Amino acid sequence: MGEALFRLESVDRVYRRGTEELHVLQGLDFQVDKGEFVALMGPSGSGKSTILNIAGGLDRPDLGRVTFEGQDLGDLSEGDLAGWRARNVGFIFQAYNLIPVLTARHNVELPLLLTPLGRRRRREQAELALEVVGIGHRSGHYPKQMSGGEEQRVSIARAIATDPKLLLADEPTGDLDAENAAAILDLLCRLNEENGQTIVMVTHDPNAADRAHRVMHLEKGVLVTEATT
Amino acid sequence: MRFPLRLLIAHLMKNWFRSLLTLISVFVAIAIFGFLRMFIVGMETSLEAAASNKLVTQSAISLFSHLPMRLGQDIADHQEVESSCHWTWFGGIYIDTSPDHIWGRFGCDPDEFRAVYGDEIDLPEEAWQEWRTTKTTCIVGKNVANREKFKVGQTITLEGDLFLGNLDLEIVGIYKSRTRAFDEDTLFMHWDYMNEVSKQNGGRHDRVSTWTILLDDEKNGPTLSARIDAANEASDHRTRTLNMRAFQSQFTSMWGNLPLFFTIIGTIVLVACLMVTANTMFLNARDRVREVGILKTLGFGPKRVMMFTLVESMILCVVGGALGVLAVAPMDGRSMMFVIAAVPPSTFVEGIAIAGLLGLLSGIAPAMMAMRLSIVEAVRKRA
Repeated sequence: MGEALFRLESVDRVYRRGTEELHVLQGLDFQVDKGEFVALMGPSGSGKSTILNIAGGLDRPDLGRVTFEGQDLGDLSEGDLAGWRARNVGFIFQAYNLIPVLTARHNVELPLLLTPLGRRRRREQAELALEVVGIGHRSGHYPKQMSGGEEQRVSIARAIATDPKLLLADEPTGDLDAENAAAILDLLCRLNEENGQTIVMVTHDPNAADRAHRVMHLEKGVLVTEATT
Repeated sequence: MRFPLRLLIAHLMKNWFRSLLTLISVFVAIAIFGFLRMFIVGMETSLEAAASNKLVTQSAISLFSHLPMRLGQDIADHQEVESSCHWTWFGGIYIDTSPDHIWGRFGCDPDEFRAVYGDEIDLPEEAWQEWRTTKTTCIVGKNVANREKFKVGQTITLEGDLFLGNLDLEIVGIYKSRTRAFDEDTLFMHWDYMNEVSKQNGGRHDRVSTWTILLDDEKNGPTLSARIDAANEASDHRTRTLNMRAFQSQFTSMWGNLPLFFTIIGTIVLVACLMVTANTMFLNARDRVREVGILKTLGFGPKRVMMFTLVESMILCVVGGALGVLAVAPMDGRSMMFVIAAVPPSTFVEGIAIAGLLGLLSGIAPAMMAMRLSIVEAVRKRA
């Protein structure tokens, strides 16, 4: 077992709609080590995205503890948690979540605004990130001028621009055709293999999950199986 | 604190029509505010600028009743009077009765006028000399000259109404005022000339509207006022002698409690504008729920997100407000119905501060909404 990057301990998450309670996660224990590539699988509503949200500090558990490099995220205020996210986590979404009124480069520069980098260095860093994901030639284009695959590459560039310790990808190939999906998975694998980037990916696609080091299956908020590929 | 300024500008440009309408609403509101303040400040300023060493004697019946010319000698004989100057409202018509051609026209004695008002206006020496020596000449204020495109040397004709007969007057000088108590919307001619022409045409004559008295010492004002009025108490031309401030306040009181009325109107306009701006900011915030979620995901904290929304509304309002006060600025110094408009720097500061406050108030609720937005809910929202 390697060095833990983050750990979820006995995590419960309950969503409430009126009087109805939906137990999305129940006593979940989950650890990801540095440099790992982990795939989370399971039916819709099994709690996969909720794990990502909690691990990435977008949501907080009702019960249990989340630690990142030993630091308890529960101790952080909303403002501190935002700062922690900016420094440590990159997010990749199924719907890309690019800002349509900004060009690819300016989208990638957004998280860099939270770093001490000056304007020129931010620009260079954003262009480098776009080059790494193979889309440097599209830096001046707006999201609506790009294909889904290209948008997802920009989204990955934005996620890695700040060199985060953890990449969280929520169905990154879900909206893509097979060819683009394969290219995106190749890119994630390359980031993991060449840079030692820790990645946790939610997916419904078994082929995508096969690219990860470890695949975890969830059902009704509980981890049911775990396999190493 | 760094903002995604480019994003903010991109949004303002993307919804340019909405932004423009909001900006215009703030512009109009602040321009109205500036316009109303211009009157209020103008009234206050002209009263403050009124000379304390001057008295004005007018008819006790009203400012619009005349007094006999012979009274002038009685006034001048008082030892406290350093000099005095009579003014008579000629009225009359220049071209037609449209508002564009309505401005003050007074008959006076140029030498007396210079003795009493010489310090309050700028007029070239040759113009003074030409005016005093030629009965059919006149001087006009800068505003009248600009408005009517009058030039020195030009002859104009005034058609009498209160005083009968037509007056052909050569303009020999254009004066500028040195004080806000003296407006630049007036023509001054020889009283002798207007009196003579009116008399020849069977009209009223030997009548005067007011005397302005320059005191040897301002402390003598109250006693001299009382003595002049007492001397005429039993006559058919009872007088009322006032200090200059009280005299000026008659004009402003013609407007009633205008400052209160203007304040109420101004407040209503600003509140209406606040509603418009707040509505725009709510629409903007609603359009950007997903985007705020993305920013928060990337690490923009609650305060930064709140400031981002607030800065946007502040930009719209402050730019609109600045344009609003700038639109009013050219009115500074113009005479409008007995009030000299005043747009001092404080009006700019007040206008922009109010615009900033509008921005703050209209942006605060959407900003709080953005700050409290759940990231998970926000990013789930499809574009």
